[in-house]
Amino acid sequence: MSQNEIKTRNQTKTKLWIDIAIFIAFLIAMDPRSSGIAIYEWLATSLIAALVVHLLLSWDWTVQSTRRFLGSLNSQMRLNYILNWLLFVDGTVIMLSGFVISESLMPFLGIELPRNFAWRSLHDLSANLFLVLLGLHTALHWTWIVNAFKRYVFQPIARIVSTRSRKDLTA
Amino acid sequence: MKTPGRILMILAVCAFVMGITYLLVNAGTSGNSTNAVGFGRVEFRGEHGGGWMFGAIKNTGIVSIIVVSIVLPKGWLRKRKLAVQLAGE
Repeated sequence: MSQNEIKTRNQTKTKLWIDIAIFIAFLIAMDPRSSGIAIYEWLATSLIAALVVHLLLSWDWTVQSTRRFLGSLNSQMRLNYILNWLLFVDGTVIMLSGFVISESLMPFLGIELPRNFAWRSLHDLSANLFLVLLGLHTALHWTWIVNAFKRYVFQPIARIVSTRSRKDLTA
Repeated sequence: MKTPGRILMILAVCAFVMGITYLLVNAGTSGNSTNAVGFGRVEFRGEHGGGWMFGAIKNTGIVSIIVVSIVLPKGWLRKRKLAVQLAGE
């Protein structure tokens, strides 16, 4: 296997696990009562780092798509590109509105932001929109998700099980 | 461009979007600033029916419904296209 193939494999594996972590963290963050306000706010803030890593791992695709957006990009890729931008902007709006209405994180950092009721509505609205966009994002990447799961989750498990059963037979 | 540069770029775009949103929201609601009791996160005050498990299942369900309603028709269309192609050969 060439160095490039190994690098791509490792990147895909990292991306898969980070995406699973982001998905679970997002589900927890979408239901604040499950964790309590402090954990909820710190968890949501730490999602920024995870999202930055997710974007870094997709950097080449983003750069290529940006260059080809007005030219030779096919319709599904173009839709995907627009959807990714919407997710990015919506995620940023969730973060900002979350910071403004924060009850634990911002007071802890000693930052006081002018609050008004619009931020609360904006936070709820953008979070609900994010859920729909996340569904579309998952649907557009479904083939990748299935293949990555097969290769990095199911196949290793099947290998472990078959090795163990072979050991049991020889013992 | 190396990784730190890329991170800075992502954060810069993020800050730009945040700046625009902040300006838009505050321009649209100037003078409505409040520190009133009850402003905060109502979802943390008491139970609101259903519990957190219901919320998690509901959200997973919404994502699943969207995924299924896009992936399944796409798969059917692909199969039909393939069948038509095979029939034409």
